[in-house]
Amino acid sequence: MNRAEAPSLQPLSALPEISPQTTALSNGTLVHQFNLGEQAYVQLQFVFPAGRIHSDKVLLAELCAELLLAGTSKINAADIAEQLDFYGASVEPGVGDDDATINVYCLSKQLPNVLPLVSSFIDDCIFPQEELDILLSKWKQRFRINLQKSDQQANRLFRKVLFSDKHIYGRLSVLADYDHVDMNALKAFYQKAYVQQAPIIIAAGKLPEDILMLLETHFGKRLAAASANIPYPATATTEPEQAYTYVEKEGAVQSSIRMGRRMPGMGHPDHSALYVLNTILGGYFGSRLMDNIREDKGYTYGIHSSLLMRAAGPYLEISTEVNKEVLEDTMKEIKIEFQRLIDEPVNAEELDTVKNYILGQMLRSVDGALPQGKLFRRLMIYGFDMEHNRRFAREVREVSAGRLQELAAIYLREQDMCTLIVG
Amino acid sequence: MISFERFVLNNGLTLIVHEDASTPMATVNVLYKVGARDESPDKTGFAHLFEHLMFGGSINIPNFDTPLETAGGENNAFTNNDITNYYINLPASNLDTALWLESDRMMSLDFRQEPLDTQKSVVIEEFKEHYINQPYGDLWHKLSDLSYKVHPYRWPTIGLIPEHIEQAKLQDVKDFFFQYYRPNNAVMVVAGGVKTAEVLKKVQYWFGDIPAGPSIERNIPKEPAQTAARFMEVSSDVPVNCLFKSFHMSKRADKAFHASDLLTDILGGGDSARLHQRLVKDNPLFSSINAYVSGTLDEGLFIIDSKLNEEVSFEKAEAALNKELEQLMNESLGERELQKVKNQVEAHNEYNDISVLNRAMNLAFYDCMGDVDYINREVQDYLEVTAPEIQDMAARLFKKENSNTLYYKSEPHF
Repeated sequence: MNRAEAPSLQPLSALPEISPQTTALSNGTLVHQFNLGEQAYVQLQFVFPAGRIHSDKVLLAELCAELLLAGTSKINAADIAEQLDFYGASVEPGVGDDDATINVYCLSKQLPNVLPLVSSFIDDCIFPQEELDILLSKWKQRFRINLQKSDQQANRLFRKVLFSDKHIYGRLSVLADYDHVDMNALKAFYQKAYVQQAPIIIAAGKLPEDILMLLETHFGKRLAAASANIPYPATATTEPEQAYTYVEKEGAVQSSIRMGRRMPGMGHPDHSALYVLNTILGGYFGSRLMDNIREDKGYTYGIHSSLLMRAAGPYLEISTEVNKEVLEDTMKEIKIEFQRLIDEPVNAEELDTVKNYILGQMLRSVDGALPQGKLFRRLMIYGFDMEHNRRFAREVREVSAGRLQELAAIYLREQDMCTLIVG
Repeated sequence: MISFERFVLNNGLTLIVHEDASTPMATVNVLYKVGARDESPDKTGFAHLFEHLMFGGSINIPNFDTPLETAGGENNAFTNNDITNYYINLPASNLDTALWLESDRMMSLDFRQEPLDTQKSVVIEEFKEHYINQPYGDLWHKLSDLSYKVHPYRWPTIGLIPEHIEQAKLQDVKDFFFQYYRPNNAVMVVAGGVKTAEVLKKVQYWFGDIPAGPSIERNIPKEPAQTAARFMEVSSDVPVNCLFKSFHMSKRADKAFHASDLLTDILGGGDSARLHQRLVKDNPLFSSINAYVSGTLDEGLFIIDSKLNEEVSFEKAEAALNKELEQLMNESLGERELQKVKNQVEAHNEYNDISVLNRAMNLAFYDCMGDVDYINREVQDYLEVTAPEIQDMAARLFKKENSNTLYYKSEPHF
């Protein structure tokens, strides 16, 4: 045995030809099923056009989703909680920039008990004032704690720095926003974003045989505008406020760095190549940034770059917390890494490693019903599907070092980056 | 039911194989039976530092991550008080790559000063990022110190102070490796799109020639029984007052664990749980309040963790919490409430079995606890717990002499 020699590698297989089984309920509500698995468990995602982009006020989207469980005309919050807990079910709202998804988790056999509850609070939520007050108070506390966490502050402020506060993604909540919320505005948002909308339903797991009948009973009769996709309002383009922002944090032993720029989205012909470029830069453990700033210099516990998809402004974000004493050196090294990608083509070995890493991640992302359902949502909200994902994987395999270098010269120029330092 | 087969190699390595033909991926999970409890009080944080070093290059393989990434794999690891656990997930067709990597670093690391120095810096940055540069960062340091006076659980896994990590020497590292990172001190699980006979053959090939190490004799000082309530007060520049309580409880593998674990669900498992409903909603003294168990191999802790609402005094908040605990000591649970938490256990158990990685990690941990087959029987033990057993357990856990209370006070700078 020669342990110095790596075992030979099998080429990674193509992504399996998986697509959901899609059916429309009688009112047009779409249901996408990923029906497989041995464990008698399901995750249902009810996706609504109720994200931050769909609201004209900060906090409304998040509050509304959370307060769906706060009581209907027939059953109060305590009883809703009691029933869901009794069935071993959990309902978790997830609000993002571009959508709100009500995640329902339970044993398959409990769906007939859980779905009526879910449908009642999607249609008949009454938003009791005391529930709103308690929630606001809790969130205000959390906000005050997060104000003291420089990494949380950096995450929050960077969006304002990159998009400006005139853009939906750059609007930030402030402490005062947690003191009072206009109940009429909240209820109006609920009507517009939930009651009058058909959710797009993604059902994953070992689904009961009568799943469609159950969904038809509880969601098929609603009078609501059904859509295959999430609609998005038009958004004006904005420019970053300034190229460099520094926020001091007294007593900080680390500095939080956030750096980035606006990027093309998933539909752009260069999307797959840009994804590969981002991975090389900072998207995996062996990335240029990790190798340099963590493994070589020990400046940080982690440094990453992400290509974030958004309906009204996809962007690149580099993020790290470093020993404060080496802040300037870190900034210098990040720029050196940009320049290297511009000046030198990536060698064949490194490119092969990155592609295989990405393809491995993609195989994991379709390994099982629940991962498939989650992936599908991320594609669907931007108007894409599983076939697009397979095409993306094929494109990743074909990306050339030459094209990566060209794209680096366009998108990784130091002068186009926006930087925020906290601490 | 998680099906598996268990083998022990000549060098003492335990191998468990779990087949799942529905996935093309394989998971290789290696659990080393060493954690923070095995450290000496002047060299804390070592087990966790060591976890980092395991990625710094082994005797024949200078770079761990690149070959794995090229094979389409991902990996991660964690260290806690009791164990250090490593896992790899990759296409099953490249299983040999994972076995090659894990076996080489079990054989020997490439002990050099340079990677040691780098990882020391990295771990010190981790220390700062999570425990120093954060509000409440030192909470676990304080709570462990309050709860344990003798047992090594009295210091957190990251280490007592960054200086212990800074002082780590190459010889310390080598000694630690050859004592604990041996096949006879490890449990390996291979799970997913694999076939048992083939896995056994491959594992024999890659791991068979690694020599066994000395048998491990743990002489961990036992924590003496607590005989009086303890109290600690800490002030820090944090915005919100927090109240913590811990109570000594059984080991993870004891029968007594289940009643204690169910108590965490009764108190804090979901929005209908007693503490949330009564002390956050009905009588809003707290903005959040949770209960959980540490789940350690040696005697552990039942913990309550809470944030007080503004204008609420610690005394008032604590009194209300104590009243809830006393009610559990004095009154039996109703049937519906007991059934509720059992339904939650059943649902969680089913959910946890979905991911092959979870199954692999759990198989390793159950084996480490002494009985891998228990993974398929434990839920039944939960379902058989009775209301009187829960009441008895509450009486044992929550008595004053068994309580440790920490007031974490907000004292903002101006």
